[in-house]
Amino acid sequence: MERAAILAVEEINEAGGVYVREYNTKLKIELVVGDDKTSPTDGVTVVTKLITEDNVDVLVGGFSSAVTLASQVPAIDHNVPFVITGASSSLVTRRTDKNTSYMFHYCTITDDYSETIVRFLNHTVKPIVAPDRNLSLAILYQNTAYGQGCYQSTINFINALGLNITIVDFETFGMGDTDFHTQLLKIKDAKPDAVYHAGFTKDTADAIKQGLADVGLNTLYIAVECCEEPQFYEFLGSFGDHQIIESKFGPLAESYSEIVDEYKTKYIERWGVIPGMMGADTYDAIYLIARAIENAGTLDKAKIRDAIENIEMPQMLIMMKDGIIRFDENHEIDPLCFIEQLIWNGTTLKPYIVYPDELKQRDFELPPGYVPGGP
Amino acid sequence: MKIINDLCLIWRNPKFYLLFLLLVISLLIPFFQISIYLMHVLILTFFFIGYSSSWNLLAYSGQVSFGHAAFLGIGAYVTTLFTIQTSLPFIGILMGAIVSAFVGFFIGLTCVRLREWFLALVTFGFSIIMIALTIELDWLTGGTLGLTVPKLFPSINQYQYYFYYYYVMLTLAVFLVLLFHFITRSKVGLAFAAIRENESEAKATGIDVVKYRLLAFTISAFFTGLMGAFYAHFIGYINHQIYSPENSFWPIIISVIGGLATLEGPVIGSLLRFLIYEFLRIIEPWVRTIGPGMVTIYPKMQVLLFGAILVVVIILMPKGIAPWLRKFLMSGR
Amino acid sequence: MVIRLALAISFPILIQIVIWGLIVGCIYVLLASGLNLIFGVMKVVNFAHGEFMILGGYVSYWLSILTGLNPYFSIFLSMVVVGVIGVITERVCFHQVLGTSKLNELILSLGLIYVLQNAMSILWTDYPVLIDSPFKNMIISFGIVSMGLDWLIVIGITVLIMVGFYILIRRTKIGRAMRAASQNRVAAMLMGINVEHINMLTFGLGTALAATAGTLLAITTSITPYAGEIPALKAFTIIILGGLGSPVGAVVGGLVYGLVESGAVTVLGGTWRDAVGFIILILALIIRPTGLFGEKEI
Repeated sequence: MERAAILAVEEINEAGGVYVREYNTKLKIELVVGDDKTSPTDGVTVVTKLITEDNVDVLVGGFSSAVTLASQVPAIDHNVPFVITGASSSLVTRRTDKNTSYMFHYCTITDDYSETIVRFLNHTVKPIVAPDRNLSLAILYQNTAYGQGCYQSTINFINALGLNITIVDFETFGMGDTDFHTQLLKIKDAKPDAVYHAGFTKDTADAIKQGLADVGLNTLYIAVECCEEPQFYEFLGSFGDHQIIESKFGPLAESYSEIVDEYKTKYIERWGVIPGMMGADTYDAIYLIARAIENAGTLDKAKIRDAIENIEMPQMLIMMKDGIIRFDENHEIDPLCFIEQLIWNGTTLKPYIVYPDELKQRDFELPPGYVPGGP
Repeated sequence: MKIINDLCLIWRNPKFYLLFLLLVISLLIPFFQISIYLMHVLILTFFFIGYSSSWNLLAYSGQVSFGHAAFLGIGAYVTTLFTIQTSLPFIGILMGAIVSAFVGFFIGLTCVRLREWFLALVTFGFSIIMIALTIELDWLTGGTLGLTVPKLFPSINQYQYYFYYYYVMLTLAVFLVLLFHFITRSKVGLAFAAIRENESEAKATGIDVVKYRLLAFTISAFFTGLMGAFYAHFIGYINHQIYSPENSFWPIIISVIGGLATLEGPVIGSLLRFLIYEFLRIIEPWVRTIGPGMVTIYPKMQVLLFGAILVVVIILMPKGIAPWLRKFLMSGR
Repeated sequence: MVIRLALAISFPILIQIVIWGLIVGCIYVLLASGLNLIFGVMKVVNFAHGEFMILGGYVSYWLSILTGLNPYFSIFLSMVVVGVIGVITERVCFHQVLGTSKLNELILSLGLIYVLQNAMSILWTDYPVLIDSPFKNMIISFGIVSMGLDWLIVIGITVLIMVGFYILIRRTKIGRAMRAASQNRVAAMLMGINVEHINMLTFGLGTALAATAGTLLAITTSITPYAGEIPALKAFTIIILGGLGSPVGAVVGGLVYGLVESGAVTVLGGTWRDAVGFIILILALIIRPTGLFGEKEI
């Protein structure tokens, strides 16, 4: 996240900065970074410092939903606009106990992941694997707000869209766990057609490897966009062949967006590594904030907040369903996520977009050795 | 008479002058228009003084708990749930402390006959169990997303809230330190010390080891729960992370470095923690210039540093800094 | 609270779950045996035992990468490396606090945990490390049950190392010296045994055993720098339940614990994996505060 932020700030500053009508000049952005150490207490401490000591105008970031729920409180108390670019829980802008009018959620949430995944399963996978019966889905999720959110929203969307998908088993694991054999064995027993793994890079890669190599669960594995970073592909290696990842930002795929390609080039130039998905929202958000400040014409926080609320600008790294970035009444965006299938070419794993049809780069194929589940 | 005797001793004891000086400074600080952030950090430091002192009391009786965060969390959750329902935060805090004491009593029952490291294991295990329970019972506890904790008292803005909270926590810290001072000087405290030094000898002199150990556990749990409750109302948010091993280890690190089973140990330890952390934070911008990788490495180096300090202190100053300082100052005369 | 009964699990899968429980148990056996040795001989409580385990895993990983050696061979090399580090740790740290209160040992090990964990994290990042076994894709079948060749090898190596350990303890002079020191230090000293040397050797051997556990762990699942903390405490639970100092207790206890853990995940779900061991420990200690089988000799 920090690298993407630095890149965005440097780019904007190089072009002169942000034009603020009030001062009739372009002002440079100063990036002040704080680390919440994934602890609610440290989150509150750090945000308090940023607001009261460093006197920041706008906050951007936040990774863990739980920590963000804690750390946004000082921002709420001091009326500082906060564009949250991590935090997969929709609660951060929908709290009933606090006024979230200064909170904005520029990020995909668990609803988005699950909706995309179940739609994909229904549209692309089911006709091939289970045309005459319900598709059997198993969910292996992290027992955190994120994982539980994925699980819950999957159920919600299956019901809301009336899809013929049955959840045949669900298993949990703790954050940081590395051993999924027992859970995978139970899932195998339930005979799924696909396994949706809601976790992070490390555990998803482990689970897929253990499932395929040790447990003999030769099914279709679906990873969530949090895994969209180069290390994931490295870890998986040949085990990832023909497996699925839901994504919103695919720097490793074939080109599908000029902005993404440009960003990728500049990022590699600046940092020497391929960008992961964690920073993409933050990059967009900083541009968004810059634009909002220009629209507002002032550094007054209340006016900036209004400007963010009413913003409309063309999509950047994260694609929007109608191509325009805007916030709805819950201060959330309507992003377009896609599904990639990973293909192993002997030396590396490369993703290809297989859904939705408008972005499709390749047809979906079942993994070699795939064993369908049962009813 | 005992109290007057004590007071006389106080005038002679240099450590009390130091503590008194610290107290006076602490009382005056907020009037210098310091930043909210500094108040925030000082409030946390007072919290650690109180929490570590409570833990220290238990250690004073020879029982070293590796899972004290369990009591923190119990106090915090009880007050949160209670206050959300009844909007009576002070009663909630009291409830938190009482429930915590109850639980402490029962855990104490399992632990009183155990040797030290059994105790360490069991208390640690208990904090891990609390994490699992909290996540499982999410209809009650908010699970991993946690709960928002209502404020302790209404206030106009964050600055005012912090200003008053500062004195609340300072009073608590001072109160606890003084309380433990009187406990350790009392008959009960002597029993604790006797048990700590040599259990079988203590039994031989007729001390009911089980009873006193339980007493120490209950008292310690009560005040830890109390601190946990105040902590919750301050941070404004709790989730299962309050039971983390890290929260359990801090009072150990603080008390041991400062001086295990001494009065000023937790104070010194908490102060040191505050100073070291703030120093590390101040030099952070310079550290960042070393490279973008430092963002992830720097926090780890901080923890490594604390670990290394702990190891060094244990090897060179096994009784902690306070006794070492005392010896050092005495030998200077 | 949801307790999902495992009654509906089909038999072949149940067998595989049981076998996996045994595999996990093997790793615990190695870890607990090392701990048992250190505690039995030196009466020292080292909570940082898990960090040596993880260190062993990392050393094996790097050895395999750098030399292309089969990981099942680099186990033995990493045993040596970690054993040496263990000896140094004993000399520099534990030796100083031996004899002072137990508390000091506990807290020293706490400090060591922080130092080792974060040193490893800084050196090798938090990303999990998995040692690729060359037998990765080979499956062996026994009737209805099939499992990877690696699983069998893990069991085999555990047996091999435990047999070697047994021979060392029971049949060599050094082993006898260790046992003597564990029974009565003073008498051992009077008999001319250099107890300080024995301490160093014991610690080194104990950490070497932990290193093997770490390597096997890194092959079957994966390791991160922080993955050692909880297993170490589980190892303590195991030796308490099995009888402090009893090597048989460590073996049986380790296997049983692995099974119980897998069982708990099966019945209660992944959330309870770590907690279940402590629940058992607490229950056991309520019944028998001195540990289920008391203290035995090695």
